[in-house]
Amino acid sequence: MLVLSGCVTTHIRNIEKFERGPKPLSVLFMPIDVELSEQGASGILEPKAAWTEKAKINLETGIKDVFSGKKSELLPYAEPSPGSDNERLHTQLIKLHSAVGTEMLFQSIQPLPTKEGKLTWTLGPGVKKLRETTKADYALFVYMRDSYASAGRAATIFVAALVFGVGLPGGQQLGFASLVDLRTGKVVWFNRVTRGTGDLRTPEEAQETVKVLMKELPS
Amino acid sequence: MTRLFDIFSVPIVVVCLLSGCVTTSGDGDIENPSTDQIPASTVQNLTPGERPPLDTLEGGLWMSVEKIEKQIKSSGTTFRDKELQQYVYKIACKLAGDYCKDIRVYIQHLPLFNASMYPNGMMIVNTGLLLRAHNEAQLAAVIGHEIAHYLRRHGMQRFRNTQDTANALVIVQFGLAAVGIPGLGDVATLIAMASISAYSQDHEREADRLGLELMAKAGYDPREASRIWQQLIKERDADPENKNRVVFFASHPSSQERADTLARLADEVIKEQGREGVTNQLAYQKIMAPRRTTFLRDETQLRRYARAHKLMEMLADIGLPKGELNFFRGELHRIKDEEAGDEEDTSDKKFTAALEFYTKAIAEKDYPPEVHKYMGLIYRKLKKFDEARKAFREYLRRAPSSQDRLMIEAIVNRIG
Repeated sequence: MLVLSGCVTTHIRNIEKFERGPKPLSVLFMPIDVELSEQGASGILEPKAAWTEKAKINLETGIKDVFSGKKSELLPYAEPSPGSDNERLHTQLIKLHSAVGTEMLFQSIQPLPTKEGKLTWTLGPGVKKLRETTKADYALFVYMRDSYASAGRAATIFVAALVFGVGLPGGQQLGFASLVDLRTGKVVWFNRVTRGTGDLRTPEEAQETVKVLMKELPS
Repeated sequence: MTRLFDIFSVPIVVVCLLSGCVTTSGDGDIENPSTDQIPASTVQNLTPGERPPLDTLEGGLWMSVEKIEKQIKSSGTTFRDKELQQYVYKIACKLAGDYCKDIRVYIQHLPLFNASMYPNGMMIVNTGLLLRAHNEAQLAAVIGHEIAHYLRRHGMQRFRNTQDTANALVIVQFGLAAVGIPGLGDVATLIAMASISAYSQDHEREADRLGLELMAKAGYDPREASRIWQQLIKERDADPENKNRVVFFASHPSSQERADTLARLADEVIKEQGREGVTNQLAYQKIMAPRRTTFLRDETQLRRYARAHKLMEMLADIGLPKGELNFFRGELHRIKDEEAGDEEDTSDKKFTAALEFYTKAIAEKDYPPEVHKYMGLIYRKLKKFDEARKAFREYLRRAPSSQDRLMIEAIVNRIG
């Protein structure tokens, strides 16, 4: 609760170091699962397509910038042909990452004691197909949801705080990124952003979010 | 943690709001006031091929739904059967006319009577609907209803209405709480929820009427629209557990009201057009025939025994193969008796009804060979080993290349 309600908080689970061979490692850049929305007075989120388009471009640019300073190479994602088995697999993997990542995010806030602080998550052996088709060593999955309070919502928050002393949530930025080993499916690095600030619609602020999200990414 | 859950639960709410379904909870027995007059709506139909601009509410909803569509495409519940999908799509195309290219049909492997339409033209049709429709005209009635949701942009309208109502509610609740009567806020919530339901009922009525016109225009007998609802009512009424439905929040009008209104409208349309139209029952059942075993097996696994019996009884009445239907009615009894547990119970009654239906099945010219296998399994349980052996051997004779051949042979050897 506390973690979410206010300021910038990130949590880095840098578990394994890259095992380096003679060649530079390659990371497949999976399509970013991003959606921006506006929060109405009642709290219902209205999805915003134009904002989302902008955010997608801004995030992609930001992440490419991060990799330009690293030894590993970021491989662009090639859209598989429509209706193909690969298209099906990729869609399901992105969906799976959003589910597994959500759980990782919960546990980064409230860890299960039995996990003993270890990052023991996996997307399963299904990812091996990605390695076969792209020859990449790792894949980077990014999930991002960002909402902005409408004028009505801002008024609601103001009244709730003033009259009732209740803190209601306004816009929220919530996202996570995982680096997945394509030989095993294991998540080798995970980080998240959960906060009430930030704006992915502008390149500068999106870059700042990327910086927070990609902090201490193994290079 | 609640706040986190809020963030994740909202998209799910959005999905429910977005899709227009044929039927959900609104099967109440109490009649809703009939509104023949559909409220004049200011919302224009989409034009063929139109995509809403990205910076509009509708554009945002389409974006969200396109993501869902991508997942549906790759989902494990999608019934991958090209021929069936093409068949259903052709019917949708015929009804949609100029909008044919704007609609995509996905068949979901779900044994429940339902279909739904999303604002971007993604249509979901359940296998449970395909089993229940008696003919092409009945399926066209449901598809026409869904296309009407798309044309009239009900998904978008419903989202906006829910948004407006919820926003207004916040103001009402704050107002009431500010003057010291917070309890009344709950009443306001109830009223708001009921108003959202009533709003969506109006959409259902509009879709029923427009859907009927579309199916009649495509040459189908519009009276079949009312008939599929009557079938559903009969099935529902067979279920002893179907009582005390809540109609206050029902998003759909009651089935009886829909059936009555549709029957009246159909007569009007026939008079206007001067023709009755076709049902295409033979063509429809020919397509369904090789898939029916799967669909019927799904129904038995739902364990809704009374409803399933009624459904299969109705299918037998329109002339579908009795060998198969009686086998599955036997299956319903077998599963029910097995679920009842009590292994010591070898009284006369247990499995009697199942065996009766199996016997009826094998009296027919055509029936699934599995009947003999399940007869064998029951006889073995009842310790009637001679009969069991005979039944298993008959099964292996009729299905020599079945996958469970080795297992059945092992059972036969063990009982000697």
